[in-house]
Amino acid sequence: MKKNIVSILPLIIFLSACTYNIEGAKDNIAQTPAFLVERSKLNINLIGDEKANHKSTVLGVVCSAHSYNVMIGDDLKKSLSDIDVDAVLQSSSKSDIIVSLDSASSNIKCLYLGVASGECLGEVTLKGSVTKGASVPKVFKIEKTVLEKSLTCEGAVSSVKRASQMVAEDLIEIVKSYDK
Amino acid sequence: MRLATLILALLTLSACVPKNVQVVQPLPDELLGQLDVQNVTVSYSQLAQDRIQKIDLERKVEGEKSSEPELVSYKPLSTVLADITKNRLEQRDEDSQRFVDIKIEIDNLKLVNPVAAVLIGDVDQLSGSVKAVDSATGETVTECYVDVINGSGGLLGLAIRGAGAREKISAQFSDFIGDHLGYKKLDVR
Repeated sequence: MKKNIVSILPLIIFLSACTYNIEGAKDNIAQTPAFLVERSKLNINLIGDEKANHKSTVLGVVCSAHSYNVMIGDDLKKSLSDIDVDAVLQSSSKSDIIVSLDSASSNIKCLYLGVASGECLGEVTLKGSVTKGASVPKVFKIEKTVLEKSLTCEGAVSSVKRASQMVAEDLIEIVKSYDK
Repeated sequence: MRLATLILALLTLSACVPKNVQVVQPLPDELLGQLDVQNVTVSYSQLAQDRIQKIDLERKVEGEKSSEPELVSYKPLSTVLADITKNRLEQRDEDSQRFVDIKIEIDNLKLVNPVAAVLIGDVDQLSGSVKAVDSATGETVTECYVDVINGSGGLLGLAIRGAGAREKISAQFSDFIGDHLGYKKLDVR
């Protein structure tokens, strides 16, 4: 009986319900301290950030009682505003960079593997385009998948959070290399 | 107290209701029953690949050393599921001009442990993502998640379940794909 209770407890945790707000995609991205940056008159503008905030789709039973709100649009807004524009844009540049987010989606798949053992796979997809002035928009589709081992559905949170960070890093690289 | 009974009770009581087919991208009504499946491919997701490939490798090695027909003719899950799905969908689909390929990505294959099944009950489970993609353009036409769970408690459960569990659960998996695509029912499932 005692063994059964030990087996069941993690399962109950996996099946219980709560809501997670997944933010902080920019946490691990290296940034230049604001006081060191003399702000350019040019900007990197972000369009559609509200559209990119979304609720994750949980596939399968495990962790499906939870709700995961992925605030990737808000995170990208912060990350892009921290980029040193003068270091990114060519000195001859006269146009702002416009990053337009068309859609973002994510899904979570978790497995309960027995006593005190579980795994979650978080997949994040971001679609949009980057434009400068009258140039043809560069369309991007970034997809990242992260596997996390966890005793609880926190594994779902951390896998999607890490995948979001990787998506944000890739987008920032696309923006930074726009003029190169 | 049987673990399988308790798990099923917990699933029922939890906020989620287990569904065999979870629609991710719906199939437009006008395409219901109108897709002609050309190819079926099966891959393993990161959640499954280590475990399933390990089982496949162990069985392959056993088959090379054994003379038992069942072990000698052992095929990996990806081959078994792809063959069964192609075969069963071909029996059900209509002639159509919209050609699609079915791409299955398996997340979990769990087969009953006979000892656990006798003592506390256990389940067979096969779950994974299914995409129908346009054969010409590669565009995703529809996507769903299929999760087949079969309880098998005690000796009676094991006896009813019998042999060929992978083939049986693969057939159920492919039937759920056929249902999602709006195909006609088979006379005998």
